[in-house]
Amino acid sequence: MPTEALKLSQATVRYPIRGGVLDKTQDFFTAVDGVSFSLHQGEVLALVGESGCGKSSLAKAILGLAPWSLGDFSFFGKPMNLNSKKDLKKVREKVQLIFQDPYSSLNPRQSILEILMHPLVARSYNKVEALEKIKNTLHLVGLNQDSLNRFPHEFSGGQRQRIAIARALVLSPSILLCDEVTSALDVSVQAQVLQLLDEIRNKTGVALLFISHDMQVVKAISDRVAVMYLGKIMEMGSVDTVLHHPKHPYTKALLESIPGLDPNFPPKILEGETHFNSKHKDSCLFAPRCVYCRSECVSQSIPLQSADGVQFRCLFPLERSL
Amino acid sequence: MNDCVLSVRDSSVSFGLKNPLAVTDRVSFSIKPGEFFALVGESGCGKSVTAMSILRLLPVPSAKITGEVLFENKNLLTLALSEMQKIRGTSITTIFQEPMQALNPVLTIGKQLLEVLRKDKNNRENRIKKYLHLAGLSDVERVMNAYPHELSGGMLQRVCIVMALLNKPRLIIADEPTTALDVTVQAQIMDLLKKMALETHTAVLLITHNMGLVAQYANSVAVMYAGRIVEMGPVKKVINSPLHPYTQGLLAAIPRGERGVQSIQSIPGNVPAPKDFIDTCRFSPRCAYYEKKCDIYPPKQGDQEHYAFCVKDKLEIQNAKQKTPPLN
Repeated sequence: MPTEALKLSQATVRYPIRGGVLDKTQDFFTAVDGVSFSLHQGEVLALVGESGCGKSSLAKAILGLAPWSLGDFSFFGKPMNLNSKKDLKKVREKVQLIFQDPYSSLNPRQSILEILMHPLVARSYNKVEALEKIKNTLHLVGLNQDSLNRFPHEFSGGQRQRIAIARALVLSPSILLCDEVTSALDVSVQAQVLQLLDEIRNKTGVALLFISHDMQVVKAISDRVAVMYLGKIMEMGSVDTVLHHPKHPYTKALLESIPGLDPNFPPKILEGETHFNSKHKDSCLFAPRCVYCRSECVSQSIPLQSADGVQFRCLFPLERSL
Repeated sequence: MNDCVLSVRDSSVSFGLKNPLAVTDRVSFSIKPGEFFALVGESGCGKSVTAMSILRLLPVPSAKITGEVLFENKNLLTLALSEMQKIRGTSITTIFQEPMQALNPVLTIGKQLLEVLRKDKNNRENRIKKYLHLAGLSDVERVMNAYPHELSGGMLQRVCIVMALLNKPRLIIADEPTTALDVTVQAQIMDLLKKMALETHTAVLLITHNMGLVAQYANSVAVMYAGRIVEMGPVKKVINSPLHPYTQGLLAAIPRGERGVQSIQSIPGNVPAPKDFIDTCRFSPRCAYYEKKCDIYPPKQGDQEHYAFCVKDKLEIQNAKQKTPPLN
């Protein structure tokens, strides 16, 4: 069993809602609600869900970029307090974030060398060491040495994403948080970036938290997957079981709504929209849209259960066939 | 070809006055009444420019459009601006990618919908309500009195579809109508668009980069690459037996839910920028079957219904495929 790199238990992210004359905090919006999972070295865990399900908030909270309100966080077995600057600095060195849009995540006024140098300077590496690291990383992401003196606008989308990946890799992190890394790219270059990430994982043993809304991409790259809906994990387990034999109706609906290439299998429509209703705060959040909804689903709280190595939050899990 | 709603012939668009930069090159296609026609391609291939050139919504005088755009036997490119204005929003309407930005944030939905019908004030409120109802917005009163920020992206896109249909147009141009939406909502919106277009017998020009949407909803498709149409035909034929190496590569690049990143193929290289467009086959630098003889303007290959612009015919590509192992 590989080492456990990251462990979250009951992670909760709450954003304050301000208002009134004095701009006081009046209420909280819970974006992530009691999420627990662990990530092992060399593993790819995908977080999937529609917009507003809290997947990006969770990634941000791990880096202290969103308020970590409740829950425990441990990093390589050591408990960390994400609200303390000292601990956060340690985490930020070893956990790196790659953003969605390589057009806005790279400073247009800095050369690639400067972009890659920043993380190393911040960690007080000396120049010689830093250059050596940069050159190795460039090689790893498949870019030429002569790109160092060029600027982001001289590169295409796929190449820019390679630069963004290189920036995340220069500090030899143990975890990469990939926030929708391929959704701004064209399909014909998407595979290049996915293959690069997979190759890096095999070479360096880095763990990936892969945030995406594209189920097909998730199926290709991940080992495990967590399906989120309105801040809660609905289903979590290995990709082979969760995405091929979903237990939760939401997972099934998500999979079935993708338009495939075969017109004999048209996408099935899931009625309604993601909408938080405080009425369902303690019962099943998906109940208003669920076709299998029964009276028990809205009257009682639904705990995360496990069976067949899968965790799911549903009273009436689906049978093992799609 | 008089039975077509729209027929675009050899339309080329270039930008810039001093050194014009050609963005699209001799694009030709036609749409029949009630047809769901898709224009598919990657970013920067010129699909949106082609669509906007139909309505002449490109910046003047920088954009220059040549060729012909025939709509109801009129060439839209030579029409007076006042005549063009009569066609926009009535005979040809548009649905844009971002519903949040397509609607005016300081006017209620009701006001904006009424404005669309300002020429024909007869019983307009009831007509709007009927359409909103058809579009699945059952709480009509609330929607009419709401401002755009009070509705979700999916509901706003429904409003935009209603807006596009109110004047009973002959053609709707839908420019990436679901790209900003979630998958579950995407299915709802595409179904609605298809259903309402069928009911009103309106032709739809769907601009998209998503081959899945094309396969599920369109009748015919034109695949664009680097400013040119490379393949055109009925959707089933194009997807099941693509003629052009680019279409083949594009289809192979779509993840199909198999395990392992090796299951997804990529096309080596990048989409060229307009300044790097070449006169010969523009896909040749990335093509696995490239040969010296490809260095010409690619000829038409195939039959009247389904054709591609490639030097090599289907057989030649098939033979080449057997000889060389697939990419990656």
